Order: sequence, then C-alpha cells, then structure tokens
Amino acid sequence: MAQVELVGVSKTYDGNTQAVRDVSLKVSEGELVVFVGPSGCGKSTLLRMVAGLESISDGQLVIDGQLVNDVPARERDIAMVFQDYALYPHKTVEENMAFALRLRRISNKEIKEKVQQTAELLKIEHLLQRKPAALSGGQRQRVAIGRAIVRQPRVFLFDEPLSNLDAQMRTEMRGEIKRLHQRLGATMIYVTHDQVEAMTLADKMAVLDQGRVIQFDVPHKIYHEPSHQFVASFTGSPPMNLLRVVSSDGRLMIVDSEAPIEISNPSAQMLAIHSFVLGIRPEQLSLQSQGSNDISVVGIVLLTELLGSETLIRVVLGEQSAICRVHGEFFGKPGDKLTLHCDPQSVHVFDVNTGMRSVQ
Amino acid sequence: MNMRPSALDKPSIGIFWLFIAPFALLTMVFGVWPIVLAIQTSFTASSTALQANPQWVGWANYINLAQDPVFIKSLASTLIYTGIAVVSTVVLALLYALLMNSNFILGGHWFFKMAIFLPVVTPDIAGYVVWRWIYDQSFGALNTFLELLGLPLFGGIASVSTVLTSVLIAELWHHLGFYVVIFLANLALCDKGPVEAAEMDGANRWQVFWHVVFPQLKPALVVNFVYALIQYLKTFTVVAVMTKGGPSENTNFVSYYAYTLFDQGRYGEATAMASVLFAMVMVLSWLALKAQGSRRS
Repeated sequence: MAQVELVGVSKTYDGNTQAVRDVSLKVSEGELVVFVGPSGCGKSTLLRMVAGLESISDGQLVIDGQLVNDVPARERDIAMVFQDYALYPHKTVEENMAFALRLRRISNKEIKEKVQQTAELLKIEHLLQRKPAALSGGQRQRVAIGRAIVRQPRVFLFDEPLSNLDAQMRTEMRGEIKRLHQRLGATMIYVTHDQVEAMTLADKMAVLDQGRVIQFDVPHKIYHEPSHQFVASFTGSPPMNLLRVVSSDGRLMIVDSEAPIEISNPSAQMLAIHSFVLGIRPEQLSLQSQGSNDISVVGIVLLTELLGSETLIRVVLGEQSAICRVHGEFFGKPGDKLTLHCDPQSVHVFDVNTGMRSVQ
Repeated sequence: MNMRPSALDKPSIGIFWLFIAPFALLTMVFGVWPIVLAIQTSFTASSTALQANPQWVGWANYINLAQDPVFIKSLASTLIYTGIAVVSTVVLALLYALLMNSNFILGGHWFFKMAIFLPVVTPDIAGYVVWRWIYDQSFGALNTFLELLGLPLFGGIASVSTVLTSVLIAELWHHLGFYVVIFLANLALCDKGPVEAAEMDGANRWQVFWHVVFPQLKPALVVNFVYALIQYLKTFTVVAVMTKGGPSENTNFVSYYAYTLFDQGRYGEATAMASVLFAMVMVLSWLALKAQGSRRS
C-alpha cells in the first residue's frame, strides 16, 4: 500500500488550455479519496496523470516518497478500473485477470490460485471461461475490478466505474467497492461526477471545478462546512439553496429588482455584513418555527414533489427560489403563501464576489 | 439489425430487388456468363472452339496441360511468387500502417499517406513502364545510381535471379497503399481502452501490440490476405508490360501463359488453364476464409 502526493500538479494542452491547475493534495496509505466535480472539471485528467496515461505539465507526483513524473504507466504498479471496463475483448475472463501476472512471469500455479481467489471474492468464478462480449455490464465491471485486485498493486484508480450501469446495479456495486476497500485496506483514488457516490464512498473527497480543487476534506465537512458556494451547490440532493441578500438599516432583504423580500428576525452577525450569499440546506428549512431565534421568510409555492417519505417544495422568493424538504406529505397548492423557518445556526454565509465561505 | 429480405415486409422486398437487380444483371452478364462460357470452351477442341457447334473433347485439354512442362513450371512459379508476394504485401502494409499510427512519425502524416496511396490510383501500365525503364540495363536510373556509388549492378528484369524480386517491388509499389488503407481503417476502429489497460497492467510496446492491438486487426488481416491471394494468383499486367514472361519463362505465370496460348488460337488449352486458375483462386480463398472463421469461433 502506498501514499500518493500531488504537489502543484497542472496539465496544459497545446500551451494554453489548462485542464488541471495547481492541484496539491495527499492520499494517505489505505485511504479512499474521491475526486468529484461536474464534467470537464479535470478530475479524469488528474486521475490519468496519476496513472501515467497523461503527462504532467507542471508540478510533482510523488508515490511513497519517490518522484514518478517521468516513470511510465507500466512501471508505476498502479491498477486502474476504466469507465468502459476496457477488458481485452479476445481473452477470456480468466486470461484478462491473469494478464498482468503473466507479464511478471509468475508461475502458472500461483496465477491460477490468485485468479481463483479473486474470482471467489467477486463471485465471478462461473464466468472465468467466458469472453467479455458474453457478459452483462455489471459482470464486466466485476471482471475489471478483479483484474485490478489480482495484481495487488500499490494504488487502485477508478475512473467513473459505475456510470455505465443502471441505477440498481450502481448502488449494489457501490456497496461492493466500499466493502472491498475495507477488506483490502488499499489506497484508492476514485473519480465520479455523482456526489452521492462520492459522499458514500470517500474517506476524503476533493471537489473540483475548472481544473482546481475547491475543497479537499472529509465528506462530513464538505457537506456541513462547504468552503465555497460551488461546493455547497454541488453537494446534497437537492443541493444547498443559495440566496443573494443585502442588509441595511437593521433589515435583511432577499435581493429582487422590484420588491425585495424581508427575512424576519435576522441574527446580529448577518446584519453585520452588507451583502452576501445566504446558504441553507433544503432539510434545514421547515414550515413550523422551531425556536424564538428562527429566521423566517414568506414565499409562494411553485410546485411540490412527493418522494415517498418526504416532499420537496419549491418556493418562489421574488426573482429567486428555494427548495424545502419536509417529512411526510405536503398538502399546499401552487400559488399558496408559505412561511419558511430556519435556525440561524445552520445557515452558511458566502462572499458575494469570491464565493468563499465567510467565517461566522 | 437483420437486413435479409426475408426479414422485411412485402413492399420492402420489392424495393430490395429493385436496388439489387441492375447490379445482379451486370454481374450475371459480364461476370458469371463469361466464366461459364470459358469453362465450356475448355472442353472443346481449339480449332472448333469459336464455331456454333464445337467439337467436344472431354478432359483432353486438361490432360494436355498436366503433361505440359511449361505449364507445370508456370504453375510452380505462380504459386511461389504468390506466396512470397502475399506475405510481403500483408507484412509491409501492416508495418507501414502501424508506423503511421504510432508516435514515431511526428508530423506530415498526409504526406506519408499520399506517398503510399498515389501509386494505387496511378494507371498500372504507366507505372510498370516506368519501372521497366528504371531497371533498364543500359540507361536505367537504378544502375546509373548504383554505378555512381560504385556498388555492384542490379540484374533487374534481365536476370533470372533478380526478376521475381524486381517484379515484386514494382507490384508492391503499385498495390501496397490499398492494403495500408484497409489496415489504417481497422486501426482507427481499434478500442483504445484495452491498450491503456495493458499499459497499466505492465505491458511494454511490443506486448501491447501483440496481446491487444494485433488480435483486433484480424478483420483487416483476413480481408487483406484473401484479397492479396486473389490478386497475386492472377498477376498479369506487370508481366505483360515488363517481362513478357521472361527471362527463361521465370515470370511466365499462369494467367500470362493462358493469354499467350489464347493469342496463338489455342482456345481450349488457354481456357482450361484459366479454369484451373479460377478453381485455385476459389478454393484458396474459401480455405483462408474458413480458417479465419474457425479461429474466430
């Protein structure tokens, strides 16, 4: 098992397009780190640089204290699970899994044992003699994972491994990968655009946007203390409500070109800042007041979505809007007036210009 | 998607035949019918072959062939030449395509593609006339150049020992581009994912090629192999233009020998020879395709 360290890593294409900018982070031994972000944020490029499939334009990649910028992929002893599986189409499952071991001239007996053990671990023993074309998506992904595991590499890389699977299979495989990580205790880097996958799997997650790491922290902190409004808007389903507000003369108003809406009972800290972005998680908004300190605002119901055990209510606040998540069913109709309450302790304040979290 | 006519509804079948008919008709009239006539002629006496009621001689023409030492030599040289030419064509085309596809060539891919493909669209007779001049013993460019460098001269198409090589070089120049294009098309369709997976698995360049790329090139290999086989078994133009079957009948390949007999009015033997060649092409191509089919399953 290994430790992976990125120091100021950048990737520049054609001299000017920057896909990855100045990324520094450390993946400790046995840790599962998830790179998450919208498509085009550079997360896959970053992973491919760790793999050795992309060159590093600037910065240093250090694995176990050794600078590996110029070490070719085949000598890095890193295994990768690809989004489209990338199995060898003309080889059987067994040959696919054995390939890396054969290249290392390990004895046939040992190869057979290792492949068998791994196949049992992944419950694919019955598929060993099949070719990839005869497997379902989920089975191919298991084989791809098996091919990585059987090598016992220093680091595992996963490049959106579940995005070609259907929703049910995705949930199942997600659990499986988590169990594998706990069982193997291996160093893993996992790339996904799905924040739920990231939150559930990660020991630590790096949220990327436009080639930069915006926040690198444990999922709990990412969710509850987002360092930037981008992180806040990317995590949670639905994501955090972000409302532009201004304070003046002891009043806090939601910005609107025609009729600003007043937020009742603002805290002294909020009033101390003139203009900011107010972040509130949908589940922190409630329809009943929870205490005398609660801030509240009146909006108009736009639509409701019943999810089963809970309901999402989209509320219009002038030109802006917010989503409120409530338990059970909600019987209001579109057009109804609705007062939303929130504990001032659970709100987030972001700088209106930089998007950075303001210390509260 | 199943495109057999049986899978289509009735109006679609009508349209299917409408599109097929003109080409089917052309194939029958200009392809199948002459072959049938040629085979028929091969069982007649040459002197009466062109008459309305030819004299049937059974297998006599074929028996004559089997006893003709020139034909036996012609058949042997055709097979030897075909064997060498097919292997060198497929191997060289593959190497050229791989080079074009690799990062060894940094730029100017268009130039290399044009350089290899231009001869394919050049009229073959013109090309072979130029090659004949290049090989010419008195004023040829090749020997002039060798002489300048003080190197031993090349016999070219005048010498028994070099004529097959010389003809092969001219043919490779003319045909190679076609085979390269087929390989390049297949390479472009190759899945890059497994190549990267193999790199991650620790494979070097050669291992990546052998274990991942090469197996994916089977379709192009089969097409090129069968096509080259057919083409070289039928080798004619290069001989007609450059060597006229010589020297010492070394390039008197079956199709050229049949042509010379035909020219002498020996229609029965000529068509018998052509029929033998036709049967060989059919059988060898079928065997090659079958071998591929069984390997795939």
